[in-house]
Amino acid sequence: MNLKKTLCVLNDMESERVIGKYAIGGAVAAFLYVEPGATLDIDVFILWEADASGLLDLKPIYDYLTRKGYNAQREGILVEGWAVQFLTASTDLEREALAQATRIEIAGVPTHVFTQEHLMAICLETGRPKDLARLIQFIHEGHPDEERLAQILNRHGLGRKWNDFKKRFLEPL
Amino acid sequence: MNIVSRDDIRRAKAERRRQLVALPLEEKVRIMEQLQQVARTMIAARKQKDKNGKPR
Repeated sequence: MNLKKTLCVLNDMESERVIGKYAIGGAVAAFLYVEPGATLDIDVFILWEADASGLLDLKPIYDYLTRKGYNAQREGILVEGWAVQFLTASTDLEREALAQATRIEIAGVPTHVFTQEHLMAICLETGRPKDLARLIQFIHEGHPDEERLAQILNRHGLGRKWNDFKKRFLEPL
Repeated sequence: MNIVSRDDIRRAKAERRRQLVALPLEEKVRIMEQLQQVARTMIAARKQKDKNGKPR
């Protein structure tokens, strides 16, 4: 597996207009800010229009990658050893995270990754136990920009949820 | 024999975590790729175990 090669394929897809701007979210993005851990998938967020029936048809993406010799597996497609999952940015928060993603370079390959503060807001919005655990990890290890986080949370109506989270997990029992 | 207290172990773990958090992106990616390999090996082993019908 080689993330550098996976990113090159994604960049090719972007430059050949198979997809528009993409950004990495999920665990891979999180592990770039906090202690790295194990994950099998890489979540790639894109903007993708629904068809007339309202369904999201990712066939052009799968066709492109299949032609390049990559194989679909379950809900993703294996690209240079990484199971890539293409996710449409479906909420205002995810669309903002995609628009404001940070440009970074990994082994000389440019890519975009969600900001830490957007990842935190998405964790809070999603709210599964593993998301909340990751949120705690961000707080302890990631040193987020608190003002920027507060702005994002307010903009997306997550202020109350944040207060509940803090009360439940960040205050001593 | 060295006597290591729980506090010593906790401190050492916290320090190691701090070092991991501060690693350059390339190093973090390398660790993720190594961990992914370990995870895949474990998943494959578990699938094989399930296939053989051995108790979990």
